[in-house]
Amino acid sequence: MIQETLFLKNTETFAESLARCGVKYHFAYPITPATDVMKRMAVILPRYGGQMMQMESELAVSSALAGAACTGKLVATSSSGPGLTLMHEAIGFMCAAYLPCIVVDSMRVGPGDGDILGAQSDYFVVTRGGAHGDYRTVVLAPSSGQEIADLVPHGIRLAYRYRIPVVFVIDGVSAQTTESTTLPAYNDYSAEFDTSGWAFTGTKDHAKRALITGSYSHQDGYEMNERLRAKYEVIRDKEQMWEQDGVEDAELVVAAFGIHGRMCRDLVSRMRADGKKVGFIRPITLWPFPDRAFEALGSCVQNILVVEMNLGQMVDDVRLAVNGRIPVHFLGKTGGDLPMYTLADMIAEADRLLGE
Amino acid sequence: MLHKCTISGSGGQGSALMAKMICLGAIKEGLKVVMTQTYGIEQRGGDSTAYVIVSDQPIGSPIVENDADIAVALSSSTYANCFEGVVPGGSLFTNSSMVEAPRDARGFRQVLLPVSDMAVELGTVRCANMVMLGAVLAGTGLLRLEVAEEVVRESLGAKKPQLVELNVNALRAGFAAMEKEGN
Repeated sequence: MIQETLFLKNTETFAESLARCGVKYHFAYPITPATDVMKRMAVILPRYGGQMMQMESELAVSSALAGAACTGKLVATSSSGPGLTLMHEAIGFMCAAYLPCIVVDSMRVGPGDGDILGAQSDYFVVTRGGAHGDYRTVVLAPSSGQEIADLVPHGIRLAYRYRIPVVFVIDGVSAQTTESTTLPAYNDYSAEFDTSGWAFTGTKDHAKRALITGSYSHQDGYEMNERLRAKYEVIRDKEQMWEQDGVEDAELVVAAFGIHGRMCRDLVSRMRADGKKVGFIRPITLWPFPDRAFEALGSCVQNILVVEMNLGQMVDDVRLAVNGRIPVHFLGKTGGDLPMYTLADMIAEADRLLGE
Repeated sequence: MLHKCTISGSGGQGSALMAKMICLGAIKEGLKVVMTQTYGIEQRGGDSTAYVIVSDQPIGSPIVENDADIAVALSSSTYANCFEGVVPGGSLFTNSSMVEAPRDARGFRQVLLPVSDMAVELGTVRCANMVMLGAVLAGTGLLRLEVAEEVVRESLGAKKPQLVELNVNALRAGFAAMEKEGN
């Protein structure tokens, strides 16, 4: 496939980007607002020599994902909050077993089965971990169709470089938005990495090797956790990503990811046009959280406003990053006909904090 | 260049298709587009609204927040929302075949066109959306008419070639009617 600009739902952009960047097997179970990813995968993956498999449940999906990942092939799944919740046992196992994969979470209103409307309420579950144990997954939060296409190659490289599940999160409103997006030409990014030291490919060309496992005892468990700790330190050090604008002389910094982060560009340009000193930080990696963006804020910053489509999740990480140095405020909601605050609402709250 | 559009009608009137045509045409012109739609528990005959943003720059907020500079009301049930969602200086295109008692527009332009009746004269009421699209193009310069015709040919040409002529004629009829209105 050649590079081309298409008009796609962002769920479809995920499918196109994953297939064009080397995903061979996609396992999924239908759930709004993520079903369009698997639907398009079913149509296009055979063109790339791959296949989409609809399993009988999300438990089966995640087990198939872990099993296929053991072969070193690039594998992916797509789901939404309630489905992702069911997958966590396998995701925790994959972290212990050093297995790469790509997970797409199209977030909707929770808790419980919740609502099919979009939300950003899975921030905790993807950054803190929905399974037991000390583990982390890389979490990427694109804010537009183009950013999905641009980030997928990077996400695949992270998954293989660190042998770790990489989770893409997008709110359901953005997932269902249709945009013009320039998609890349086909390139299997996982092929850049040598998997011969660990992948199960049969014993034709090598001796039988130890089972990839998430089970261990005593000293083994200690050593494995220390290896994980060291790996997570490297990721924290090297892989923080964010977008920022106008923070150098800002009195107020607005922090938001995904759709609200994208809206911050308009917020800052409008408020700056009125002479108001406002900047924004849009985390692109939710884990590792871009602490550095907040640590670097100067003494001119008097307040930080965090905006989310939830009741306050990323705001905790912002508070940890500024460590009491700057007051942190929160604006967020979940559910409703429009399950988010509008740009006008965001500007009104920003004005209030500026004392206007 | 930035246009925010609200395109509303009853389910089946083709407001979503009209929005999609605008997007495909804008992409042909090298512009960026975002389209959002209400989704959820819908039924045929219910209201359907598509929001389109067209820009020559990367698009920030993808949400049209009662700040459309181009609004289209194909049905009476969607008229009030459209009317209230136009920015000062914007344009509201009202299907006067369906909206029997249009309100007086203050601070923005309202174009009253009986696009459903015009569509019936062309052969079927189902092309009312394309009549309206032609009028919007003539009234706003959003896209060139030739580009919209190209989109119709490409979208319908392969599967339904018999519909191409009808829809192109509908586009041209709307465009001509609007030009006659003196823009």
